[in-house]
Amino acid sequence: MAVLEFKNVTKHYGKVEALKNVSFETIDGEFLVILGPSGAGKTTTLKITCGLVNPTEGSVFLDGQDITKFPPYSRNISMTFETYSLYPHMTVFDNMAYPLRSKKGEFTEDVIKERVVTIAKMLHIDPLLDRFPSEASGGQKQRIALGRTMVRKPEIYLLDEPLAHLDAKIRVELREEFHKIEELQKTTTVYVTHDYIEALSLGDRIMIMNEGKLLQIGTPEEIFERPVNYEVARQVGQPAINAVECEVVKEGKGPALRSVEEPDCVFSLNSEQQSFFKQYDKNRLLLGIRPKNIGLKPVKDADEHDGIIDVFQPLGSEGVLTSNIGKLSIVGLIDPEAKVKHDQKVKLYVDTKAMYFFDNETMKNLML
Amino acid sequence: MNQKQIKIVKYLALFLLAIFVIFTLFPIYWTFNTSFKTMGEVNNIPPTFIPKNPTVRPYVAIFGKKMATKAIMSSFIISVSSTILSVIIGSLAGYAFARWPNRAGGDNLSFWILSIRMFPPVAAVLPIFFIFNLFALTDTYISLIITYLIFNLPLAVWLMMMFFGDVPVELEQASYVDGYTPLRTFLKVTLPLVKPGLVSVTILCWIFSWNEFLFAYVLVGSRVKTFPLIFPALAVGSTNYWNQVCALAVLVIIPPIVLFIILRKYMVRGLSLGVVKG
Repeated sequence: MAVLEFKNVTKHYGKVEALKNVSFETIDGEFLVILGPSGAGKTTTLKITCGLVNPTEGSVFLDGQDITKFPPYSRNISMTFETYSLYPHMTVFDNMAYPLRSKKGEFTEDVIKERVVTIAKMLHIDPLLDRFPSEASGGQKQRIALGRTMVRKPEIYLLDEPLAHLDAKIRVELREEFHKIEELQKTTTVYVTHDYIEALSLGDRIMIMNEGKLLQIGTPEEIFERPVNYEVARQVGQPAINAVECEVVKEGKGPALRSVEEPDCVFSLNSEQQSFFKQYDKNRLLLGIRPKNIGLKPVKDADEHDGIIDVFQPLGSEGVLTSNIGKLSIVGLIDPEAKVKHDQKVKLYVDTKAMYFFDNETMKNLML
Repeated sequence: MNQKQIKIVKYLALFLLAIFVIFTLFPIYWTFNTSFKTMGEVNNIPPTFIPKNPTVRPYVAIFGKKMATKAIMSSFIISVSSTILSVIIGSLAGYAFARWPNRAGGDNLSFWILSIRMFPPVAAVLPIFFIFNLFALTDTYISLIITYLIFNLPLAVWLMMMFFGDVPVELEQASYVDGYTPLRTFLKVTLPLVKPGLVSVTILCWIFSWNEFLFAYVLVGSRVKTFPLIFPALAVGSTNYWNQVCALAVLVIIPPIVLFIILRKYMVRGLSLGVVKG
């Protein structure tokens, strides 16, 4: 049972504001992924949680107890570092046994050995136990670091970009394993990454951060389907969401959106969206369309546009199509085996249901 | 450059190295050689390169002199005490300068410590003598221990500061999160990683204290003597006992050589390479 709570936490490093008034609460036993670009304040959040960094303002609670002033060694929170931080002068076994030996006499050497070997077998590093960390590969080092985190039973696991420095194949392998490791699934885990696929794959909930601010916290579906603002929509999804600055035109068959950059391109709206824009009192907005909702095949409620293909990148499981509607450049996802070429004239279909509308100044999602 | 020229350069380099080796090893060889000669053979002209009648008399004579054995013991006590203190204080200060440069006094303080090493010791020897005299500390172990400590600390602090600076802070942070207090982290993680630094500092401090002559000559001399003060006593007078001088010299270079051989493998750097990231 462990619920972590941040209450109005702010952290300054000199003049730099790393965290700005961040408040959130975990659910007991959940896998919470913090997603954001570098400098978002993700690692600072973890370091404040484990006590390596003291917040400038605000408090941290663990199960309702204020732990803000507790030193790291008296919080029962374990963490793997982005850089692994294995002790080079100790064998893999001693590295993993290290947390268990922190309080003299807490565990006998037999108990320690049993626990280390169990975890090592689970992580497939049992043949390495007598070696030194310098003799292990990158993926193995990451497993050893994980093993050291998991040998004791902490209230919370903190994982700081555990897959960031591994090559693609091992990254996918380990990501799958995270799903299977019971300890991580049962215990509250806070996982930091800048990779939205990791976030969507692993997170029970995702917390999006940028420039020290918490933007949104919610399930992967919520984050993907109902982003609170343009920044959240931009961070989740690859290729990134298309953003078209539009003005509302209230002529003819009810409201529609006309691109500011390319006035010939008008996006029509379905009836629900039209009734919203009848009430909308501003003129401008930012229209967001995910690439997966732009294609060459007609779908129900699709809005049709004349486009010219600029670049097509077949990537195996999907094809990234960059095309121009007049001066407007739009990215769509299509069948990777599609036979298209540069400068070809095509009909582009935009799924009107899947359009997002953001305020062009505050960048907030207008439909929420 | 063609093959021939490369060869010429190679032989030239070997030739220069050979001269260097002879230049540095010859005095040691000659000391060793002389220490086994009788007084008669020492003064032979031309000199003999291998003793005709090797004898251990000079060594027996040195061991028979209470003054000499006592001086070697005194040298041990003074140099070992001063070295232990230098390593302890140097590590703690070096750690503080490496981790919290501002709280430890900043660049100016650490540079001031280093600057102690920059002025010639001979300029300080008289003031130091008067200060110790004021406290009635001349001719005591403690005066030399303190003096050697002062001159060893800059080296100890700076070397340890650099070694500690190379230990990633994240290793210490990981240890805190693993449940260790800062003191236990220092002992379990940080200190073992700077072992090569500790060894280098130990050797350098000890050799300085072991061989030092100037301060010993001024600060002590009657009740307390270190071995460097014995040499003039053997060599000055109506007869110069060169064979005994050399025997004493051979005896006192043995401990540094043994120490160096034992500790050499720990001086190898690189333990901390590949710690962080793959």
